[in-house]
Amino acid sequence: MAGNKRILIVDDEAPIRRVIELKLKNGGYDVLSATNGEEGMRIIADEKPDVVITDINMPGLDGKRLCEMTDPIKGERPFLTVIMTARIMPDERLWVSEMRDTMFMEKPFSPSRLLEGIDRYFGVKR
Amino acid sequence: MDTSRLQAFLTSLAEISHWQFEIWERQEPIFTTAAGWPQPADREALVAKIMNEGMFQQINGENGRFLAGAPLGSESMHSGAIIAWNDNSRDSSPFDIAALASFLGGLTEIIDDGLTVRMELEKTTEELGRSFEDLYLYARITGWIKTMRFSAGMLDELINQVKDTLRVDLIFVYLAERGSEKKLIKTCGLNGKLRNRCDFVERLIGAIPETATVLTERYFVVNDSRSLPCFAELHGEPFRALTAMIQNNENFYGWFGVASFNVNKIFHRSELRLLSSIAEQIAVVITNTDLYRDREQFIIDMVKSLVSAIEAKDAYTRGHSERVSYYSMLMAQRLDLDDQQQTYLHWASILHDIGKIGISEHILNKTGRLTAEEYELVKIHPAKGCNILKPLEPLAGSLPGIVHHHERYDGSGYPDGLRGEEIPLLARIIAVADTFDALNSNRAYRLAKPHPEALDIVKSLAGKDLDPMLVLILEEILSQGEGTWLEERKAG
Repeated sequence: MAGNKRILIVDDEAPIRRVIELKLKNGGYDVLSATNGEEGMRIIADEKPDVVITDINMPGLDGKRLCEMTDPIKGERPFLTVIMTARIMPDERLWVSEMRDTMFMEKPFSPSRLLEGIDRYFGVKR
Repeated sequence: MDTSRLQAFLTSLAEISHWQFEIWERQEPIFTTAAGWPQPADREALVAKIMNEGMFQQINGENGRFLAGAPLGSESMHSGAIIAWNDNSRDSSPFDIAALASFLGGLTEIIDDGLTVRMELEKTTEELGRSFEDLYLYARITGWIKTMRFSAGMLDELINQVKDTLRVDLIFVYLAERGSEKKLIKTCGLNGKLRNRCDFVERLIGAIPETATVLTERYFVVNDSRSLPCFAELHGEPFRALTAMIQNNENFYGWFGVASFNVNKIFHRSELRLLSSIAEQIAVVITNTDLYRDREQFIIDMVKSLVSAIEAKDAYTRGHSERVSYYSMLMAQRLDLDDQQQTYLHWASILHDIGKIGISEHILNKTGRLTAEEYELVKIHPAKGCNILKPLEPLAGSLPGIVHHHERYDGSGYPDGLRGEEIPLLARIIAVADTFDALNSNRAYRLAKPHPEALDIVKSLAGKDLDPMLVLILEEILSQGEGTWLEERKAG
């Protein structure tokens, strides 16, 4: 369906990917997924998703590096980044506040809150 | 159903074997490996037969051609078929047919398994998503509630946090009467179906059978009000309700519950557990608050007893400390002091004369002027009070108010001769209250001055003994009648 917003999930845990995927698909979004940071970067470059949801703790390229590497791109093509983390440490708040269009989601997270946050970003009301 | 993998598989299979394959969905072929080649005429008939019988079927054609197939889809609902036929280029013996039947049967089983697994995975994912919501809610509530004291406002906040996550029409907390605590009902309704929510909750609670309170599971569920007359009569429309007991060990406090008018669903096990857990948290908060309040009350009562004991020595100061505390606290409210400061002031004002315990009765009750030595002994009492209380850590913030309550604004006071704002605020407040009450009460050496005269004298001391701003505040308080109430208390 042309015109559907596309969302990328980057997380090494399959259950989390699936839960988010199902919730967002039911919400009418197209969903892409990556199991690690490198794959995530590739998909961001190739598919240009409108939202990137990423875990922080992943082997290899972690979520923080991913954010840092993608922040410059947002100048030309803005997209929303959602960072999932078990606990928001003060220094995490700091570097996240320096990123554009980036929001936090603490674990355990609520799938409906996530959907609400994304809807709000696109100005969608249900 | 996504058949692209299956198509690729069948294409390769057709290349290495002498069979051709087709996938049919209902009565239409959606894929064939024999594109561009002649296809047997009776395929449609075969597929119809397969769908009808729901099992492997074969048709013997002419020239040794065999046409056979097996159904696709779940057992209850076949959505199509896979069929196969042999190329005319070779003969096939009956042995091949049996092998084909077995092969097609096995293949369709594998496909069906895949479908079943996919469906179950989706269901599991949905269930997991619900658990995530529950966990999120529970984590938020426990994190927040453990720092709380119990209050009606706390319950409102709790219900607010819960209502966004649970898909129900009504959330309520019902607390039974307890000693001096009245019954409390807090509700939140999400549509207009209930005109009087509190009333509904009362009757709902009332309809719970007596035996329910000894349930080991600690919750009570009715998944359809129509099933029990005592619930059916509560509302014209059918509803389902779940209430969890707010109970901590032996203490039963009340109920925490939800209700929904959507009777097409029932309450999940996980929802029952979630509500019970939240109810348990509420019970813990109530118990803790009670314990804390009881202990606080005990401490206050004990201190007041001690203070009374001290004042008993001095016939003229009975109730003085309590009155000084009363005026001081009124002034603190006017000044909008924060809770911490108010607590310190409360203790400092009640205990400000505790140092007098070391002063002999004959000095305290002397009718004439004190000698210089006697006066020096009296001047020790603020510091003495401080020393007595120093080991008590919680009172540390109150000590400055006690030590310096006899300092004078112009610096001529004791023990340190501090002046103006050097004198701690709490001490300045107590000084004003102390001075006023002393003038307003009988003393060994003179009678009480009535209210307006006492206030005039206090005003004349503004800037000299007392902080002028605080004197103004006392004046405001007295003019608004708050002092007169105390007059009545003194008389009575």
